[in-house]
Formats: sequence, structure tokens, C-alpha cells
Amino acid sequence: MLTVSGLKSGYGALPVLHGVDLAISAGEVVGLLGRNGAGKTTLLRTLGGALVAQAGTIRIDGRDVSRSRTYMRARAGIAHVPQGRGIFGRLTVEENLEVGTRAAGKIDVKRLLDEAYAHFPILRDRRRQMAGTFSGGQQQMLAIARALCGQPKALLLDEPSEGIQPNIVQEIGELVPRLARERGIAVLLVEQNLDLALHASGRCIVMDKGLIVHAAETSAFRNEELLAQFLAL
Amino acid sequence: MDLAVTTLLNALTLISILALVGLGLTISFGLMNVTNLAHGEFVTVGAFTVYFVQSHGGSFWLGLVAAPVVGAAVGLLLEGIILRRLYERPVGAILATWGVSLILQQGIELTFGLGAKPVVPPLDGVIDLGVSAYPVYRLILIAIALLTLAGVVLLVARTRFGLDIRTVIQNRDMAEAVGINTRRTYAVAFGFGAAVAGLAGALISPLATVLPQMGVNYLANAFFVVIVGGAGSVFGLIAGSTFVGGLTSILNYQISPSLAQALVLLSAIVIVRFRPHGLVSIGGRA
Repeated sequence: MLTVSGLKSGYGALPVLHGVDLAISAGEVVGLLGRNGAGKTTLLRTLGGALVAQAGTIRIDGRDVSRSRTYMRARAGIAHVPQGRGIFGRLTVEENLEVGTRAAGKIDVKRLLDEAYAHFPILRDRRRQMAGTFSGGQQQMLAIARALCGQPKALLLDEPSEGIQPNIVQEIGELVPRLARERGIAVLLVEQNLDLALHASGRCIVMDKGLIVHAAETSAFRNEELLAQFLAL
Repeated sequence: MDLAVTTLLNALTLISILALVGLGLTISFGLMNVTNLAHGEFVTVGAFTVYFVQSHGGSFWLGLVAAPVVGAAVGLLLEGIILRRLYERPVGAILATWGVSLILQQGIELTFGLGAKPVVPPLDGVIDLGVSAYPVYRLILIAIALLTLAGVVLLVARTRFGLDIRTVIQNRDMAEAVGINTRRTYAVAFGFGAAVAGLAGALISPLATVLPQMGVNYLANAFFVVIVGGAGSVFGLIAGSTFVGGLTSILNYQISPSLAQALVLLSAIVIVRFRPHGLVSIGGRA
């Protein structure tokens, strides 16, 4: 579903990614691990379009979006939930979800909202509330719900557990693989919280210095030695 | 009593015009962080459109309808050809729009010649309001302005495009990431602001001196309005124009217009000292 090959990018003259290859199929959750500065967030930003790819290709469902502008990638099916979640704080919950449907094209907005509310009933109860008044955990739920409203083919999650209470972390850990399976979404999950990453992902890849240095089934990462080697834990 | 009513209606006339002119500025300032020094020329273009239509035998009302269309066209050209390339370079945008302003002024002067152009008001009569008589046309002007502003509030609060604008104001990168074509949103919003400024120019044309340089004066006042009221919000726009327009109208009765202008500027400075983001500093809500 999401295929990346030879991807290079960075900030101005500072290269960060040195040729990343990656393939995620529909319904699969891939955990992306690595130390701070390994290039995980840069990879997500380059896939989403916030950063320009200097070389390589990004394909979503066979369609090359490497040179497309951000909104075109969103419409092609890439949903990016960045660090900090990017909630529109001065819009209501429902308005956040409604702008989320922009990526799905001209379509029945109400049906998409109902689908999102089915997954996140608490959002329906609070749909008239300003999103900025939400707690971190609720905002993360809203950000994922908003991404779903765009009917994505690939979902990029950057540190969904950051700054939120443990019970919601656990909820996200159960929700993400279920959503991926039920709706056939390819999920790339960047996560510092190892418990969450290992719980939610079927497969994990490790980045270091802008390259993917290891990939294996999640079960292999329960091995302490491997973790010590790649993550210096 | 009749003086009070007349002053109030004069204030409402000025407030209406300032709010319509300020709308485009609050869009470019609040939404795009662009200081558009050519905004006054949209007013000029609107006024000259009415003059052009009338001098070719058309009615004032036809000119009033054509003015926002011409204003939007000029605005879209300015955005598409120049501003689009300068969103990341605010100082460059100031210089470029100043240049465009001069080119438009001189272009209009070359096309239409020197001197003030006459625009005939569509209605000459006065209406007896009981305590005082007031020109009918000015009442129509106030009504059209109020309807336009009400329409803008509804557009921003209730429509799909309004939601896109509010989203882009808050976070352009994230708006793009959820699938909004923010470049197009910018262009349409800018063109809309230019259209409303063109409408303001058309409305004021029978009352003002229609000159190629007439926009400059409205530009300065509209900037006061936006800065005092708070950029990026319709309610800030209304608060700012009420303050600037109301104070100017009241002072104009007591003292000379230049001194009145200076006092308005002084009080604007005092307000901005204590409320740096303007009277309505929430930004982005409607």
C-alpha cells in the first residue's frame, strides 16, 4: 500500500535521510523505532509532504506522490498525525472532523462523521466543544479520528503516547491495530513508548543515522539483547 | 437632537466604508501575514468602475455590481502573479505591493486623465427621519454595507469555504495536511477581500472625490481599523471600524479634520500599547 524507495531528505543543506526503503501493506501496523535524532520524524514529515524529498520515490496504492504537494498527498490517501497532534484548537470537535473529510474528496460528510463517532463515542458527546479545551489524550483521539475522516490508505502516527495518561495509551494500543485491520489501512507508528510500539505493531523497523538498520517481527524485539544493541536501552 | 442623529448616521456611513475596506486587509494581514500596500487601489478601482460604467451610459447600479467583479479580478491577478511568491518574504511583499500601488495609480491616471471624476448618485432625495432629514443614498449605503458584513459573518461561520479559512488561519501546515488546498484558499480569500474593497469604492464614489490617488487615504485608515480591532477576525474588524469611524466622525464636528485624524491616531496608539493584538484579540473565530 505504502512503498518507499531510496528516499533522501533533510533540512536545507543538512541531510537526514540517506536512502530509506520501506513497504507497508494494507492492514499492517509497522513500528518505527530508533534513538532521538535517528530520522524517524523526518521520515514521517517527508512522507506527509511537509519536507521535500531530495531523491527517491513515495508510492501510495501504486501512485507516485514523491513530488506532490501536501494536500494532494492527503487526498491520495496519506494521513499524517504529527507530534503535538496538530489539532485546530479554535474549531469545535465536529469542525475538526469535518475538515478531516477534505482529504476524502466531495463525499457524504455526515456518513464519515458518523463512522468516526462510532469508533470514538466520546467525541459525539462533545462535538460542540472547542477542541483546544481537550486534554492531551482526548486531542490524540480526535487527531486519529480526524485522520480517519479522510479515508486514508496509510496512516503516519508520530508519538501518539507523548504526554497522555496511561489508560489512553493503552486504549490507543488496542485501537490502532484494530482500525488498521478493519479498514485495511497501512500504519507507520513512531513511538518511544516501547510497550505501546510492541503491543500495537506486527513488525518493527529500527532507524539509525537516517537509514533503516534492522527489521523483524515484533516478537523478535522482546529480546533484550536486540533492544540494547539498537536502542541503547 | 437632530445633530446627534446626523452625527450618528455620518459615523455609521464612515464605519461601514472602513469595515468594508478593512475586510480585505484583515484577510491578508490576519490570514496570510502579508502587508498589502496596494489594497487602497482596490477601492480606487471600484470607484473608477462606477465612473466608467456611468460615462458609457450605464446606470450607477450596474457599476455597483461590476465594481466588486473588477476588484476581484485585479486582486486575483496581484495574488497569482506577485504575492504568491512572497508569502515567505514579508518585507519583499511590502515593497512589491507598494510598487503595484504606484503602477495602478499611474495606470489609472494615464487611462482616465488628470482630475476628479464625477459620479452621479443614483438617488438625490433626502428622507425625513422625524428629528432630521438625511440623504436617502447614504442610508442605502449603510444598509448595503451591513448586509455585506452580515453575509461575510455567515460565510465564515457557516459555509465549507468559511471553515477552510478558519482552519488555514490557525495552522496552515496542518490545514494542508488534512487535504485543504491552502494556496487556493489564500487566492480566493484575497480575491474576496479585493472584491469587497471594490464594492466599498463603488459605494463611496458619489460622496468622495474620485481620483487615482483616493485609495491611499482609505488604506491608512483601514490599517488603523485592523490594528486597533485585531487582525484576522470579523468582530475585530467591526470593533476597529466602530472605534476609528465613530471617533473620527464625532471629532470632525468639534475640531479640524487634520487634528481629528491626529487624535484618532494617538488614541489608536494608546489602545495598541495596552492591547497589542487589538480590541478583539482572539483571531480566527468568525
